[in-house]
Amino acid sequence: MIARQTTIWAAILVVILPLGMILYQSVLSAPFFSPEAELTLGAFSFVLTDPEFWAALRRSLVVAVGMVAIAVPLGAIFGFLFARTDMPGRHMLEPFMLIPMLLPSVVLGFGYTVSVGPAGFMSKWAEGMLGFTPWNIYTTTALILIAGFAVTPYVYLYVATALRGLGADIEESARVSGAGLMRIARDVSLPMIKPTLIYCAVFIFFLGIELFGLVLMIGSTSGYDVLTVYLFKLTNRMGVPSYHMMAAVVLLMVAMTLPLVYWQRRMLQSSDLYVAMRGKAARNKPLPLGQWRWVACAAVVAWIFVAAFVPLSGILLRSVVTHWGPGVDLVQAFDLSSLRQTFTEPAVRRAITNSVLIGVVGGLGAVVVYAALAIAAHRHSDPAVAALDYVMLMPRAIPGLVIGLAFLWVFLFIPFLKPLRPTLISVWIAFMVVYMAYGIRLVSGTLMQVSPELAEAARTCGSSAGRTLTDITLPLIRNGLLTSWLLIFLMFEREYATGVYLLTRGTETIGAMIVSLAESGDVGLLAALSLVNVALVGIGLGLALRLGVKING
Amino acid sequence: MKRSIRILAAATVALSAGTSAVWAQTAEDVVAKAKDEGVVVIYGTNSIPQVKAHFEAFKKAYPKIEIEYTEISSSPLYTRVSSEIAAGGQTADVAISASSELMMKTAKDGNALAYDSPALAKVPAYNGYQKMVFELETEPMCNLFNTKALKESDLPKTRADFTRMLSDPASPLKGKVTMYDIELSGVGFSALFRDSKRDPEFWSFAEAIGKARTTFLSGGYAMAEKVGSGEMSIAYNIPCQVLSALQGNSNIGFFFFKDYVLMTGQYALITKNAAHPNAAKVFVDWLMSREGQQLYGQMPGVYPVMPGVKNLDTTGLQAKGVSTEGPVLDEGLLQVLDPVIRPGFIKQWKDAVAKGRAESRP
Repeated sequence: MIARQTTIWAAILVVILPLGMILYQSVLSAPFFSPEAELTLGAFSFVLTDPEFWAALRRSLVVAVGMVAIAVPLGAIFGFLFARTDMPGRHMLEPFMLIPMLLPSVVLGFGYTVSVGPAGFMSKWAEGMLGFTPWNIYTTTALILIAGFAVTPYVYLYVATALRGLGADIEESARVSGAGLMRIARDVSLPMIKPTLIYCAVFIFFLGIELFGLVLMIGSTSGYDVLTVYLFKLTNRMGVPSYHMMAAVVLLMVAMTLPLVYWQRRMLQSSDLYVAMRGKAARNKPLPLGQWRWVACAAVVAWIFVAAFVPLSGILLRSVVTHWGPGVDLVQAFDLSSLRQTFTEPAVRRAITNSVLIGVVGGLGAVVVYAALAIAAHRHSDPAVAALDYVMLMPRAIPGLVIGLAFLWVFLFIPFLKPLRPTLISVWIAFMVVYMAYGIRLVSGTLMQVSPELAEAARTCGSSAGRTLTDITLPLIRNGLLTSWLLIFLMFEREYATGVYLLTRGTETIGAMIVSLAESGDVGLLAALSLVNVALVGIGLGLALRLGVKING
Repeated sequence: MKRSIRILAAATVALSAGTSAVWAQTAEDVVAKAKDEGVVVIYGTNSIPQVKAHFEAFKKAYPKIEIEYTEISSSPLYTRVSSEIAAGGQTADVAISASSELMMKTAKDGNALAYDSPALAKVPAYNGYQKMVFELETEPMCNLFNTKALKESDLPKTRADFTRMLSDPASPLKGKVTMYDIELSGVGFSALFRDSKRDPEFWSFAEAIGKARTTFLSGGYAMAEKVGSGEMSIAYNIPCQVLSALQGNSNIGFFFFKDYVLMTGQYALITKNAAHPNAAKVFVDWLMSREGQQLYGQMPGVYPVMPGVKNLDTTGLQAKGVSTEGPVLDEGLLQVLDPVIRPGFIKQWKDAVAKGRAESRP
């Protein structure tokens, strides 16, 4: 009991530390470490009376809500198709569903400009065939669509995992009673995973609020300043970074998590409704799609084409040419030096090693932490659990660069943490906190399906709480944990902005390097490095799948 | 035979010592201590491929001093150095940045070490802000154009020409020009602010930029990429260093305006409480030595600061007799950080652009 509470409060503390730094900074007039700093609410009153803030907020809300409206239904349908039906090609297509998650959003945006931008090679093909380009990616609609597609895999993963964990017996009864496929999906399967869907909506909303790289590549071309862009402009308004302004905007973004988490908790008050893994084994039989089989398959392939193939082909092309565009002979521009550089440059090689280390070992460590927290919070509703629910989503609402800076301050100014800063552990802690909401949800999604009666049975037979955990609960969620490890590996491998401030020689990661290159460097090398990263993640994914890890628990 | 080789070797040593005597030479005791320190930690804004040649040559010259390099862009670099020093923690020994004002601000904050570098005696008076910020190289601000969209003869010759072309409602440049977003880029802000002081017709230019529905971006390389692909026809005011990444790209050309050419550069400072101050001094001196300067001279679009050092003159400015001296590092340059002037300028600029934009249809 005490161990349980301590685990949760310790995690809350780790999240609160950087948030506390930001809070403290937001009520000062200068950097908190400067002797000139005075207590003031000036930053808040400036921001709240700045019409540009409100305009940016409105745009961010449009983008975030738009992303939820696209990603949640689409991801839910895909999850249902993959987990529950006999859609052809579902085993082969499954790894491709994850590709959009593997690209940092700035790289994703860049990939789209190379393939379907105004000078993109696909745009030129379309123009050659139709006489005009039927799309323009520099519009708000395109931005929302691209961003929505890019986050669809999160929903797909959560939904497919949740559905696979459910026994198929209820759907089977519905079918026997004469319900059609649509009816089963709408009235049985999806309502069963309502908690997952609600959680997805909240999670995607915050990915939308925090969206930056993609807006910078696509949106800002049309002058579309969302909250994150406003944040960076405001921070740089004085030339010297104004941390108090930055902190104030970030806190306002964080404040938006509160009502949403409150709503989510209210909706999910009785998680017992959603138990499906009971003491009795259930057989999972895929629902026949009938004549819809190929339509469903075509829809999935079309989505993979737009969300994964289009941007990836742009990045691939850019990594092997010196230049591109209409009228360029790509054979003549062909050049492998960028790709070669990624393998010969020692710093890049170090970054690759570090990223693998962070992804594999760090990912495992993070899963252990998330599992401990998920188990500690599972089926409890004390103040600690409530606090964790609120706190863990907060870092998700903060742009990676800012939370990275907050962590730099934590490791600089909290004396006993100082030795950690030049090590990879600092990067790991920052990543672990940023992905806490995502990771705990992965584990608790699995946990929620384990009926309490199983553990209760063990306890009735005289087993201790610890023994129940090791002999009943953990074996039941073992596959779910392996899957979580794989999915956390993917995220840590891809994470970029958070590492920028913690980057030193020895702690380089591919992601942080990509950010630096995007700003100050060679675009060919940026494309090549992104490609290498995708390949690396692909290898990890392939290896894990071969070893029997399932993408959906 | 053996003897003659030895004589020859001695002669070479004497000769090389003779040449370097003309050049900045780090004091012997500093060099000795630097070798004991064994490492110099650097934060820099340049990507690794851009600094590689220098690092390799430095390692040959000082095999006992290792280089630890972290690439980080100018604003986070300032933040990191000032935070790390405030926390009394480990920071870089040397910071190298393209932002002269943030380097000078670091010095003003008291976070830089004053160093009476022997190189200072060799350089023109403009170099070295309070013996803390050293100019390493200079770069003209150039304009890029897409060679498939525009012929050399179509290009504007002066800023007034450019303004006229942008203002023409039927201009082929409409929607095809890109420049720095001055709210996101410090380099872009400084250049534009200096333009506003030099160009008497600056505010008509600002409106014309709006009329042409210009796209504002945060990075020079991102702009070059768009010009290269033909998405944009002209990119205005980019540090010439981008030319090094554009070698072999026949789609991109560069041009200057006849009225004036702005110069920018790269700047170094040694941090206060550097853990390896002597290695830092050796490194900074070496960058300003003949060898370090010659390597800058070999970079496309980049000019050495030391007079009399051979360079590629890729831009052809020196051949035309245009000065490639960098801006004077003085309080005037720090105006760009003034808490009243800066936001005021941003607002005035945005208003002028918006006014021009409102007058034109897409």
